[in-house]
Amino acid sequence: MSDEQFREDELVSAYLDGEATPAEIAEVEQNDALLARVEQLRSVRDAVAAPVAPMPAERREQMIGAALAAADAENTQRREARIVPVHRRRETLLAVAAAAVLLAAVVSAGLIASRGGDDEADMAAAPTESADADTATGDTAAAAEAAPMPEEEPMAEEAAMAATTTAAYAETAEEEPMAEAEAAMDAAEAADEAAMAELEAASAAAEAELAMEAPGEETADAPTTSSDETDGEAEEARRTADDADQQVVDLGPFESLQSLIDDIAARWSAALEDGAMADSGTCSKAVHERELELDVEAGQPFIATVGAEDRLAFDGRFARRADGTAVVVYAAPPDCGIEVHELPG
Amino acid sequence: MIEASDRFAGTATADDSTAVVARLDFDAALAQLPEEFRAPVVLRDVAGCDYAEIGSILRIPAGTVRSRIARGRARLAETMRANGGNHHDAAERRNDEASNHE
Repeated sequence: MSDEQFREDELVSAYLDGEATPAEIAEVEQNDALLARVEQLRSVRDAVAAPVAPMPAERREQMIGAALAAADAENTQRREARIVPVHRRRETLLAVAAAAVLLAAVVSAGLIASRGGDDEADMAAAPTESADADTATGDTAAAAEAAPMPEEEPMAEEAAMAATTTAAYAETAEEEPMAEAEAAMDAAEAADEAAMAELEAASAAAEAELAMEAPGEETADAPTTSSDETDGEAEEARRTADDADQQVVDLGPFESLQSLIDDIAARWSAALEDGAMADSGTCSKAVHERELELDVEAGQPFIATVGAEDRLAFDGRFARRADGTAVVVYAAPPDCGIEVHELPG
Repeated sequence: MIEASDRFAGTATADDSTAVVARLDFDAALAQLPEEFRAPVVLRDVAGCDYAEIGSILRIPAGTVRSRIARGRARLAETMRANGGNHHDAAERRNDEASNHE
């Protein structure tokens, strides 16, 4: 949106609110485009200001029932969607673990064979000492295969394999053959340890994931205390702490959010009539901080005003927790202390 | 994800469903409006404050109030246009209903 459009919207909006100067009024009324924009913004203003007519009780019950049924169906879909991938993931993890074990076994076997062929490897690798050092890895293997020991060719091949493995793990192509063999052993041991650690980590992750995503499933290796149980205890402890720290007022069933806001506004008015003063900015900040602390699913902000002459605006958060209960958080004078209203689900 | 329109389908008249969904959509659009724009718009259109009063409440100049209200309304107009004008129809219907109640 360009600056000119912003200026026109300001002009039109002020015209709509009766806050335009006579010159601005004349400018709007002589411009068809601006008059059209007046109608657009008028519909916005009407939508914001329109009161919500009360719905017949019977129809309201029908709609609440349908919404709850739809929510149940949605929860069922979510549970199914969560359970199916768990089995797939378990199979995938098992396949990865099996592959890791196989890889570790192959590397270990190669290194055991290379230990037995150290002498032969030294002999086979001897020509490489006169070869170009920069190409030691490939040349060592080639020289081993070309060594003049036809009756012991398999051992020479094993030596070449060991030399190649050495280069792959330790990248010490310029070291002497003995050092290469030692490095190969060290690298193989490190690889074994890494493979075992990876296996253990994968197994632990799989168990944790199963415990988190399928709390209702009984598994033989499931931990005695699941993550969900821990989360639930933490949530309960936090709510207990909330209740202990904050004033909690049970308002009972309420008909609408507006009636609740009216009730809160009345409480503010009563406090102000007692001579209490409050800083609305500080209160707003406190409400925002409280919202984070509560970790509610979706806070719906609201703004209300108090007082006829010296109006004071305050805001709050209306939110529904994951367990279906609702909570209203707002700051109250005189010290902007937070108040939390627990509401029925 | 079950949409709001699905939740209410078949349980009430089409007009009721449309009105409820439109109201929910509009409330969501209003909630998503940045607070610096939402507060003056609500104070103006719901609380009926004039620009000077809003400036006093929010501690900002009246010119800023005028600008923020205009921008807030412009954003809401964009949302209403994107939703095919349901809000406008719903707002008119609610106004009519409110008049009948009075």
